[in-house]
Amino acid sequence: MPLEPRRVSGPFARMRTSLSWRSDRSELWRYIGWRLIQLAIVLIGVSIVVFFTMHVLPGDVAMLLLGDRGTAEQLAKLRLQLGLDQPVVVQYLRFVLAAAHGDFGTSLTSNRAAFDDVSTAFPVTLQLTLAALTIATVIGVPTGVFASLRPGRTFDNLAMTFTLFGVSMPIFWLGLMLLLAFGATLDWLPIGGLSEVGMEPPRITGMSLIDAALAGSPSMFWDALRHLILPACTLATVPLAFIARITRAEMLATATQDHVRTARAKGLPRARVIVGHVLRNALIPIVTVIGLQLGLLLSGAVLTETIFSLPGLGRLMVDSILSRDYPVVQAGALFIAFVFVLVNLLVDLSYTLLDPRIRRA
Amino acid sequence: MTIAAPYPSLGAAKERWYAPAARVLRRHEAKLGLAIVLGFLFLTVAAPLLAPYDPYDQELSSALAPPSAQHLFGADQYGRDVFSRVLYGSRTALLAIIVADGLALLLGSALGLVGGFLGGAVDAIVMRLVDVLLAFPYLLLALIIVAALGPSLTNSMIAIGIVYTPQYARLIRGQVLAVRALDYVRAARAIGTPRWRIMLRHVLPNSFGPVIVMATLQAGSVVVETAGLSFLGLGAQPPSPDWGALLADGHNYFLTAWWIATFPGLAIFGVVLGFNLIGDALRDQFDPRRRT
Amino acid sequence: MKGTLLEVENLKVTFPTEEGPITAVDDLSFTVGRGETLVIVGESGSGKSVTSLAVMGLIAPPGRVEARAIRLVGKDGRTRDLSRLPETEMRQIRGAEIAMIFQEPMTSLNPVYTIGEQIIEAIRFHETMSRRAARARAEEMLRLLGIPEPRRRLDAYPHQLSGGMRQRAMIGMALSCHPSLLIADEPTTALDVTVQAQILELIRGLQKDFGMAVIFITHNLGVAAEIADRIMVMYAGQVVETGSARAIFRGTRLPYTIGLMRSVPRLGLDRDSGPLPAIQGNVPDLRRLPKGCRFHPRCSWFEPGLCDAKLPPLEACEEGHLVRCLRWRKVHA
Repeated sequence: MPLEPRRVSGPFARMRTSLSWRSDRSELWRYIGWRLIQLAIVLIGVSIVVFFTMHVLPGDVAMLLLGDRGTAEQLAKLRLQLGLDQPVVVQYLRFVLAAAHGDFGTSLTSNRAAFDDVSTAFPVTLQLTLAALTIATVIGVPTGVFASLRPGRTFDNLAMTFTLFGVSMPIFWLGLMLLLAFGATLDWLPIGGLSEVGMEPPRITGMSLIDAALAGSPSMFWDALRHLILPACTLATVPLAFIARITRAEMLATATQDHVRTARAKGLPRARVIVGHVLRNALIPIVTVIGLQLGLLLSGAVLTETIFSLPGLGRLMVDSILSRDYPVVQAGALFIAFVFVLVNLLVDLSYTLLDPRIRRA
Repeated sequence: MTIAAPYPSLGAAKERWYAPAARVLRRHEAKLGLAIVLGFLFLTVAAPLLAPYDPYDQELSSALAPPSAQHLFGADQYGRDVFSRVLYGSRTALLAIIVADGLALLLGSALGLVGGFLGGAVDAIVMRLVDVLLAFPYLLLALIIVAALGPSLTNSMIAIGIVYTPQYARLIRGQVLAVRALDYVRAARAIGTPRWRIMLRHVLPNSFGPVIVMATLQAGSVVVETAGLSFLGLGAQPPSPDWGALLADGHNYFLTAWWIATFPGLAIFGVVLGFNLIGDALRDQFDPRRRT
Repeated sequence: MKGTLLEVENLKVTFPTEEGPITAVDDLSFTVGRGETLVIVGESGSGKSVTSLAVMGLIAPPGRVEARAIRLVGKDGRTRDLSRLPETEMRQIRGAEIAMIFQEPMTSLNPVYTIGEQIIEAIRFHETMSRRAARARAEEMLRLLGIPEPRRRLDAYPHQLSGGMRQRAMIGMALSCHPSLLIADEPTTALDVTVQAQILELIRGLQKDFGMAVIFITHNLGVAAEIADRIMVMYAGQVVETGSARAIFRGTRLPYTIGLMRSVPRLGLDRDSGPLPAIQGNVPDLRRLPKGCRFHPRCSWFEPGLCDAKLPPLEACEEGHLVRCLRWRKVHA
């Protein structure tokens, strides 16, 4: 597809132009409805994947649960208890029905409802992910913009070299090195956890920064912030590099478009042309990429939480896999996939705010 | 919604297949990348010759010894030579690239070809499968698969391979659809050329460039991901010399023995950088529009 | 009051390439009088768009603009040399003194802002005016341009309008600050023929109402005949003929212009008159210009030893009518 179609033609285009802008709104709703249906289909697929990888592939859950200790009698009892004697389809439907009510069974290690384990851990991951995404966007977008203003010059070359390092960085190693430098050697920042002992804010949202702010304690807030800096910077590195690179590329591509020339011909100041016309239009693909970073962030969170001993969802998943706590693995996997798909939908819908041309899929 | 492959490789059939590669190598970044990757390949082969110690040999007297002439990268908690273990770790990394990237390429190409060529219901099923796989953040999908298969190096490689399958499937399917729309392919079908011949003669050669680009860029990612799974304890198990597992060891001792984690991490970083340098240069070559 | 509005002296625009710099516009001089319509005619690559962008100061690096002077008489009566004006002052010129409209109304309007936002933005930058007043002015402009329901159209996005409406909106935006010179770069090329005629008519009418001069760029001599006071023909970066529209259409002495005129299809031309004559060959590659007259490889009046030896100077073949041809005395349509 050419980047800039010279003339819009064909029946589709005619339909578009003849539509009055009044009907755009109802079209938008139809689009949202269609995307929600798609979301439901994908979630059904996700639940099938989660269910079958846990129930069918390893042979028998009951055996898995009991490990080597189980006698044949215990095994048979457990199978009956778990409904494993039923046909697979029935088992799946029972799983989905229960899951829809947030019931994934009881954790084999904590003896709490599996979903409670997940919902306790989630705010930690959410706070970390949001902090990292903020850092990546706030630094990445301006870096890309400034690099694009003078391509091939010193700042651009420096920025692009650093971003290449960034995308090649194994973040579990970067995290360790940051810990070593700022935590252990310089002793500026804490080496792990959410807060110092005795500085834990009362749990309201589960996000330490917000809880500390709600508790109205500056010292708790400062402590929570200090604990967040290293993990958030670690997790932000790779997305930051991606965002800076795509911003630069999109800025360069947009700057050559006709409407930017029009904006300059109107006599607008350079800053206004760059921000109001080039960046504003480049934002559409940039937001896509920022949205795509979510997968990277949730994946990176698993590693970051391990390095910095944070009780987040990623760490919970790994621990549960290692201890074969399959109800928690299922609950966590479905939950993360649900959040992920939902956010992707929101990113898609944000295009309609950014790009008035998109009113349909 | 499907996205066609952004690599306009169609119609460039006259050029010899290595011509773009030759042009790529005029760039310094690509040369550096190639040098790194070739160095890495050399080390995988030459590891037994270069390693001063057996990577499994425990020498408790030099446990946690810092880097010195005797132990270039220091020694770990059991007195094993970190340099030798990093050298041998390159073999695991190469294995990961071959198994995981290869698996993704094969599975993805098969899905993409079948979906793109048969179309209709088959295509719909393939694409929904791809959607579902993409509905998981990639490391989470790998975690689920490892959870199902059980933690081991082989299983972690299979998991990573499956994680990267959708990307190849989309790429190949896009190529198939593009080729199918070409006039000469329509003509070939009209005179009754069998489908499999069209696939072999047109789709595969046209997909070569984009697939190479993707495989190169993925090779770096595969190294990071398998190392990441090993780091989490879900991949390579002790005492095998894997970069991720080495880093996990280093994590436990990083306050007292920084060298255990530092050197394997540098190795991962270097190899990934090498593949990314080549991959970037290749991508620019195949598609100048996407200079990212 | 008649008089010179814009005077361009010895304009030269070069772009660096891997094979050395190419000269897109070569030693170009011309003037535009107040209220006058100058049509620049040429094939693509002749340098006509580059000329207009150079006057606007919109040639982006690495392109280089050199000129002895680009003098513009401002609305305040002061004469400024645009080629030496700092960028901040140049911005006051763009949009307010010289406005420009482009070939592709679809891509030349920003797709993410409404028509109104884009017009108001231009007005408010040049004139101190409340948002409400600027909006009223924008609405007035659209009404003037014959856009039905102008108030509602202000809130429309470019993709919601037809091509003709979009070009009208572009013109409205350009004229919203009452410039004394409008540069129109092939404004009708992308439009359907009927719409084309309407837009031409509109520009002509507005020109009278606003008393503004127009530089109209086109490759279409038919369009030139409709609106030109004077015509400047460009070929390979140079002026090859300039004169009043009357003089040129009555008796051009330039083989290239004759070729252009012959290749315009006319009503009444029937099948018996044979195929439409086209100028043979292609526009020359600016990196490999032929020696001598740049048109000689395509010219039917070509004389070996003369035309390929020396670059012809611009010569007056009659009062105010210049041609760049060594053999113009022998040339006739």
